[in-house]
Amino acid sequence: MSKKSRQDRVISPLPVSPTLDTPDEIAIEATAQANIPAMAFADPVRVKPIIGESVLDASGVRKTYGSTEVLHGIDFTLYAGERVALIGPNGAGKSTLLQCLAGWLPMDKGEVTVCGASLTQDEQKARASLVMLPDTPNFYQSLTAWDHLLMVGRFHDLVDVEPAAEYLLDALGLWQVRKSYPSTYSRGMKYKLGLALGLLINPKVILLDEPTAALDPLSARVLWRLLDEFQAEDQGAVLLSSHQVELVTPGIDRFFLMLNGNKIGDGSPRGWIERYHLPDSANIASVFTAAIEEFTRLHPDAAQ
Amino acid sequence: MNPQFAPQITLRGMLSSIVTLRLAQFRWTLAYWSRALGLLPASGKWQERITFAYIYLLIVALMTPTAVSLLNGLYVLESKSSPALVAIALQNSLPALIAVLSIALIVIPWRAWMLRMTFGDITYLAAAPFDRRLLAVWRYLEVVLFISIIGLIPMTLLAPALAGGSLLAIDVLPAIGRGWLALLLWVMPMLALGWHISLQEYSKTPLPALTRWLGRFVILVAAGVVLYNNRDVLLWPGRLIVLLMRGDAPAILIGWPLLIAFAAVGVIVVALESRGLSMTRAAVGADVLARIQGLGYMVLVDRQLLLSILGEKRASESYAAGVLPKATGLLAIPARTALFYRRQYGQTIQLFAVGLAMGIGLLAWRPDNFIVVVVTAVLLVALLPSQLAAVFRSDMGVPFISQFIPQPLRSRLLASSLVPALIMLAGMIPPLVSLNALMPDWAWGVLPIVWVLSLIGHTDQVGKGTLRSDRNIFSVILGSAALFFVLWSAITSGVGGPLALVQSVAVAGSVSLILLMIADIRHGGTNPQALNTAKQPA
Repeated sequence: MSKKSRQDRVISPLPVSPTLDTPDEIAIEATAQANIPAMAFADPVRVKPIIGESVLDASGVRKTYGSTEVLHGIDFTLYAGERVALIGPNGAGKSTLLQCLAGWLPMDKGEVTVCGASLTQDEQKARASLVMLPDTPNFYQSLTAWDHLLMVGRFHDLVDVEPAAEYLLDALGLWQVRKSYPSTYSRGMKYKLGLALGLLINPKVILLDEPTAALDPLSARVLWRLLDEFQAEDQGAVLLSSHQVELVTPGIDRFFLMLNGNKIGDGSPRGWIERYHLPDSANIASVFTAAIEEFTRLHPDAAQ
Repeated sequence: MNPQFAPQITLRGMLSSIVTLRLAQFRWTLAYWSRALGLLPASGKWQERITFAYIYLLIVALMTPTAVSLLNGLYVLESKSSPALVAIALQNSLPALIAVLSIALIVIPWRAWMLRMTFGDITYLAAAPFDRRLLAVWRYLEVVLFISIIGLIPMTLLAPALAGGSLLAIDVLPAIGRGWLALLLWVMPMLALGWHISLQEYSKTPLPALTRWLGRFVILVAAGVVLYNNRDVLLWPGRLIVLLMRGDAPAILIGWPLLIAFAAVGVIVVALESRGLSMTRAAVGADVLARIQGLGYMVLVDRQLLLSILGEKRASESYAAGVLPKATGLLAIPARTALFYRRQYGQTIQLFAVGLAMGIGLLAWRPDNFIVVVVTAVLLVALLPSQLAAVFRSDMGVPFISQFIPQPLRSRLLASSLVPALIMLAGMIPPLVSLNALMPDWAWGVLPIVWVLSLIGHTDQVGKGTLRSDRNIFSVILGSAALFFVLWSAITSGVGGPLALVQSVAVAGSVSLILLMIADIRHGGTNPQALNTAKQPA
């Protein structure tokens, strides 16, 4: 995140227009570099960073609660600069998968690698490159929002922590309440503070659980804008989960669909549209419905 | 509102709702305690249930004859050899206890929390048409019943004194029954007086807090004035209850109608006062209380849990005094802890006071033999480490922030242990300096135990991976052994003054290394593979 002071720049909640090549050209280039299936589809409003090498690899992730298996061997790869949406209905296993990827929940089986470091073999190195933002983050007692940012920034020996913290808090509309305790914040404000902390330390990967659930539409736009900056300047990768598919559509490179702990598909919006022969005007909700219907038809037991 | 859609709220319907809710809560509590006592094991194995039931049966079977025999001996002895003493106890001591209980029921503000706890549970029942009077009176009667049941314990112990020392059920049960009923009827007006003040707090037009406190103060002063002029007046209710317990005919004639009339007045006062209740006001803070309730027996086991919930509430209310000290890298952790203690100064004072007490305590502590040192080590490890690690414990429960502090575990433990240990040492050192001449030679050598206690408290919180652990019997034994080692080496070193301190610091350093290694093992650090495969099925 760039270390601009609050006075030096104007925050606009509206997305910026592309100024480089056309979105399709960028997507083709990114696809070629990342060697991922040729389904990448550039969002019309986001300036895409170059998609690089893989930063998060998961293979065969299985998780069981009691006698119920909630993740049935998920394979997943996230590339630098990429923004992927983890989509699925309630109970699909999105949050559980995110927590397993972040190392918050022990997996039963599988392997997760973050920037080349195994979460099981080299936990500290792996976790240092990744930030997970749960749907309702909690904070330390007796520390204000400002204190949290300073503590984390100073712990990481960041240069110019205060201007960066000021920039983030102001962009997220928390500047006026920076000296309040987060316990007095609303859920949306807590989420924004969590995001500010995550962006402050410039991780390689950010995992966001239900990012838009607690935010008002204007704050959601600021969220996308900050993620755009994060990805454009630092080539950060973002994996977010949501069941509000209409809201996460902006700027998403890939949609990873889940149902009952199973992966039912992974591809760009364009790829999904072509796969199910839908009209160009189709939204992701209709794609999602078609994918679930197909999966249910092909795997009736797994879809139960 | 269209009468066709107006909800039909009847007294029967409301009572049915409350009874249903309370029964469901009772079943939940029963299941909770059954789990806590091992009668509903997670494995579901009957073998485990039977084993625990057998253990409890053995305990009861072994202890009952001993307790009964002991009590019987005491009562026989007292009633035959000291009838005058028994008479004094019944005439003065017991009535005095009842008087204190009565005043406490009126003036203790915590009583208001009981009301909140109920409203937190049943707020969803309290859609607008639900009668507030019923909610208040219901909870009032529950509390009355609860207090009178607690009163059954001393009643049961006292009953044989009224039955000539007999422990036979036929002799004591009537007295216990009469005493319990009399106490229940007396608690009703006393509690109603207290609730009369407390319900104001939740009224739609509440009295100022100062007025409510003044009300309580006036009651206390009035009790003091009465006590000063004629202390017997305060003993009258208790004496009446004792007489009713004995079954004295004149007392029965006047006492029962009097107590029933008082009880009726109590119910009426609560019902009238609760008409103007604001459910919103009453339910505020109910979540905090619900969390305390949810802790169940853990409140008794680990007081820090309770303090941490209350502290969290206070933290969100208190003014954010002070600023984060400018420290980078690992030092940011002690800086955070220092700011916590700056803002939660109540906890700082507690730590300081404990240190002060420990320093002064060295004057009286005489470790003449091995056992004294062992007992001291066990007591200190049982009582202090969780208090010293309160901030760390609270922080460990916040994985979202913990992910930003991914330094090696050992460094974090050392950095977090520092500030609370320093605060306690700040309390402990002044008595050592000012009373140095009276202190034993080895006194300075005891100082490092504060650091060891703090480190024990912190290592206790370390669980597998990012998980937080709780203290258990093994960690207490281990901590006691570590502390004993430091204490014993300080006492038996044969050196005094600063030299004792230097030697003890070295020993404490070695013990610290061992504690850190154990923390690593608990964390899974020596076997990283264990972290993510811990729950893998065989």
